[in-house]
Amino acid sequence: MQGFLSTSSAVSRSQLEDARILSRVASGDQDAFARLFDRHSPKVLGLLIRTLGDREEAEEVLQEVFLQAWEQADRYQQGRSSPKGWLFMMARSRALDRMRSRGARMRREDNVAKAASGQGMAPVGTRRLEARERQRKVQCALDTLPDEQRRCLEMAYFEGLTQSQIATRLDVPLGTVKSRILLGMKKLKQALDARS
Amino acid sequence: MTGTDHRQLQELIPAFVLGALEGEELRRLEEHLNQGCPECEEVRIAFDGTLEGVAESVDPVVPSEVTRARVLRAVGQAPSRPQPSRRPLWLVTAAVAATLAVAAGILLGRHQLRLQGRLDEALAQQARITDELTLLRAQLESVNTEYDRLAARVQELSSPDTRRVQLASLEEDSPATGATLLRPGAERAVFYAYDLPPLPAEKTYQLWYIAADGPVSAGTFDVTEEGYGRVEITGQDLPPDIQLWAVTVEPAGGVPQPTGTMVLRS
Repeated sequence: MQGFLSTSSAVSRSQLEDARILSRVASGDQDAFARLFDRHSPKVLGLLIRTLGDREEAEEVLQEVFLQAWEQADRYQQGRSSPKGWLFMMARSRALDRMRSRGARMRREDNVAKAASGQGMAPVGTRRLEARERQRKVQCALDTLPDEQRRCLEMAYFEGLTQSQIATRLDVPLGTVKSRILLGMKKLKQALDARS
Repeated sequence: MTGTDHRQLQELIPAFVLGALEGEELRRLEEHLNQGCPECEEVRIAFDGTLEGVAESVDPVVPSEVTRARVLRAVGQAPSRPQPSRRPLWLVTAAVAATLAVAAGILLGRHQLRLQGRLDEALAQQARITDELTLLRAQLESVNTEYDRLAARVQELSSPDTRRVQLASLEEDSPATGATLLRPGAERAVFYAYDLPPLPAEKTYQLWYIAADGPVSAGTFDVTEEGYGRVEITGQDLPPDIQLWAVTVEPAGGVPQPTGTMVLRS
């Protein structure tokens, strides 16, 4: 198992706060739920827009994600993921389901550009500055990846493609894609662990 | 399972958490994870954390207030979750039936949520359109009034009886000009000035006509930044023997007799 795991970092204060909020949501606290929504909906919506390429559809799925979070908050297990990671997983899962049910794999670059242009607002305030800093660290970590590895990860994550679909799209052997994904994920993990 | 087999399965985990794994590899890894391998579970959790980092790379986008309100409203209306407990079979059956009813209720609730959302949007749009329509009606009325006024003026001034008296600047290089339009017997005349320089606040332009009895004030005026000025001469019985029209610079408010510099004359 050598090489897969680094030493785990201490759980951040933000994660602890999220876990407390989610615990209160699980007991039916609507104020806690509103807080959870306000803390994480911008990132979740950003992820949905990036995946779906359509702001309106992304806002619809956002509602479904948080409704699911409300309904299933008591099933969240702290050891398996952070609350934010849990929300991201649900969001991604729903977004990919939507994409598959649409039945079309259109190119999203234009739609993403349209959806993102002029939308949202720049985060302000201390907590938002911390979020900006985390985003910057993640961007730096992604920048350490070779382009071909990063591209494979993005196609898998944001477009929901399997390894063979990626190989077809990029016109490279399946084995090449498998290597790129494995090496890319390992490298990304190391880079993120080093920055945390 | 050999160490090599185990390592090979762990190398599938990054693709698995990405959702990119498929076919036989997916089946093997899922079967292995379902058997509860703690090592592989730990690896999976670690790479889930890596994916969280990928998600963090996107720019945040604040949801609309409408979306936020809908979500919070839906939560307020959603039924509470059933608590897990040990129950006899008949209770479990009843609980399952109740859960299915709740699920159906939630699905209906979501559908209603969507319809309500669309209705809210349509009503908001209708209100916006109504406001815009009211504003446009007011503007149209104002434009119509102005149009009627101008049409009457054009009719009046384009009459063949209308006489035009041209005024010129007394300064050689000045582009300033003026013109008085009047109809003999009419109670109204209009003076226009062009390219006159704006004056300080304590000064004003004053229009005069000079007849047998001497200069008579026809009114004061200021000019726009472009140098345009206008005087409507109403209610005065203009004498038929006007010899001269002139514009002078006077103190603000005007004077009974010209005292200042003449800038235009006919």
